[in-house]
Amino acid sequence: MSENLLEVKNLKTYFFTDGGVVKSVDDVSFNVKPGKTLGVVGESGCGKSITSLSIMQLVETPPGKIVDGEIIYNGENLLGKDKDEMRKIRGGEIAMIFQEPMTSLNPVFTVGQQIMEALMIHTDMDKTKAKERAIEMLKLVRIPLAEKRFNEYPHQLSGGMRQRVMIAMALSCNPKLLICDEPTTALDVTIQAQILDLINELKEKLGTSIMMITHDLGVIAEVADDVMVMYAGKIVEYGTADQIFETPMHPYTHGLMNCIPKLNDDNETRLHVIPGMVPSPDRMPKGCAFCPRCSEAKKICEEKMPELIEIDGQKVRCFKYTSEWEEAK
Amino acid sequence: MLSYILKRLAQTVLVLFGITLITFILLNVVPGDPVAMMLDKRADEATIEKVRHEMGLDVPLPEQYINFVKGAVRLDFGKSYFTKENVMDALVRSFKVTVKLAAMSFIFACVIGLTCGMIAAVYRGKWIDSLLMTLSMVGVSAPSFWIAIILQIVIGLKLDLLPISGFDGPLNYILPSIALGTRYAGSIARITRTSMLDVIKQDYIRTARSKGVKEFLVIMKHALKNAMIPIVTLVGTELGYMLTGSMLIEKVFAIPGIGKLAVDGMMNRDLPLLQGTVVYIALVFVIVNLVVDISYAFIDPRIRYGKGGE
Repeated sequence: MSENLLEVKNLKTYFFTDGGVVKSVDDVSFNVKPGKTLGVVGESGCGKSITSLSIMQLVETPPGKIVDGEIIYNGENLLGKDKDEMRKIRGGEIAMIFQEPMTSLNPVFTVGQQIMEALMIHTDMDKTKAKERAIEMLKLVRIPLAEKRFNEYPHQLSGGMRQRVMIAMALSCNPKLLICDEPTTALDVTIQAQILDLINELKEKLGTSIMMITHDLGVIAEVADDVMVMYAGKIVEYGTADQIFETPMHPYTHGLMNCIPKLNDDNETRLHVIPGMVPSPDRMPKGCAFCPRCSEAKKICEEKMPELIEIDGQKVRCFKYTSEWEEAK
Repeated sequence: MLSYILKRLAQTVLVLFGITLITFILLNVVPGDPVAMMLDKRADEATIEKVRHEMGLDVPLPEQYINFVKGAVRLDFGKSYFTKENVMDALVRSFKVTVKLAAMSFIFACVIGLTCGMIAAVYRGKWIDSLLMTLSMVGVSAPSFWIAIILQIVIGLKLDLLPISGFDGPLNYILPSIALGTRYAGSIARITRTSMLDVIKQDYIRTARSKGVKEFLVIMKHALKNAMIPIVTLVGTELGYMLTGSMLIEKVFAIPGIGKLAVDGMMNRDLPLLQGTVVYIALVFVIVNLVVDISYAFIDPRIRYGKGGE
């Protein structure tokens, strides 16, 4: 047994398309500690969702494929498991909630049926027990009139309620790890806060580890213990939440921080943006992927990809912190 | 729900009224006189007049139609001009034959179509998908009478496994059911594949997988129920076609079903027989469509009928 619940080592998930190989997740390593929250930040298309789907082995194959790496959960490599063993881990050990609560629940089954299904797969509960437990879970995620909601269909619930149902379903079998893929992105701001509070509270209560995937640093600030910043399939910065927020090192992390509007800015200040877009996979620059958008880029950045280096426990992938930087023009 | 069904049935009356009126007008507009055809041109004027009177054809057209409606509400369509058989009896007799053929072809088409469609969807892009879709294309495009003849020659004559015509026992129905069901199986397979592919990429399928549901159940439970609406729509219409008889298949296999009855009625300008079959065909489609519409509500809880419309 190691001290980490989940250790991902050198994970590479590539997509083999007609247009060539897309390295969606390229040599990513990180750990999730028991009872802690790891935040994964990045813009759309940076590989954070594919990372989480790789852990669950739900990447669509073909075209996607985990080509290399290890996913060590509780000391066992998940990539060595067969289909049936993996199926028991999904939902039972590692559960997942998704970005779109509106479409993530099956419209033709009741909320209750869907929660009970998970319970009956992973526990030996009979129908009556599973129903009791499902209603208990609905109450736990603070759904009012849980007994009535149990018999309702997803379309009868609001987005926030549906995300609560998703959380209830995911946590019903007491998983040790909960992967949240942008759980609040599709919700109203007020509901977002409620859902985050709920996730935090349940984490404390049930001792579940959480991997929180988001593009919103505000969400990270609220929940994360550790933070991993991803860009174009690679980790660009990785450290504790305190380190990332107090001493962000990578220019991309700086950029993300600056993008959060501040109330005390005067009205004249325009909203800050990072210029440009994430490079498309077929036009990945030779050097650092962020280089075309980086205000500090030097020639060396265009030429080769910097390594992920560790400085005082904080990891960063940028030439700024290497000896080569001073010599470079 | 009940008020919705009643409303739909009320519409049916209007549909039947319209469709019989059109049949009536058409048969009176197109050239050809049933009496002359019956009497084979040898009869004299007096005989023709006598027969006309017996058949109720000497009264003005509107009155003829009203007489027909009066009979039809009592399920009495009169007697066939030719065979003198009561039309209602002829319909019941033919229906008993057609319904057996329809039931067998329907089961054949659904089992084969759904299975192939789902396998093709699950293994999309693999060789089995291409194979099944090619076969379904052949099934859809090959004329049913051609399939019927091939089956008769190969299975009936060469291999001598099954009877090639008649309608004595269940064995007689196997070849015609396959011949009739093949094209329907093909189209069911195609729509099942399309509909399943659409559903399989939905978020809730990923959710089902993420909670550890067996892949077989992901497909059979989570995906299939969501994919059912377009399939049921098609299957319903096809059941309608099967129940209203296939003229070609019945001809090839010498089966005296509804299809044969309709053809007889048309060839002989046998208005009572034709009106009877037309009413029957219209009724079948109205009922099948109603059943299909009601089944939507059971498949998808988001569809509810009644209270203030749909």
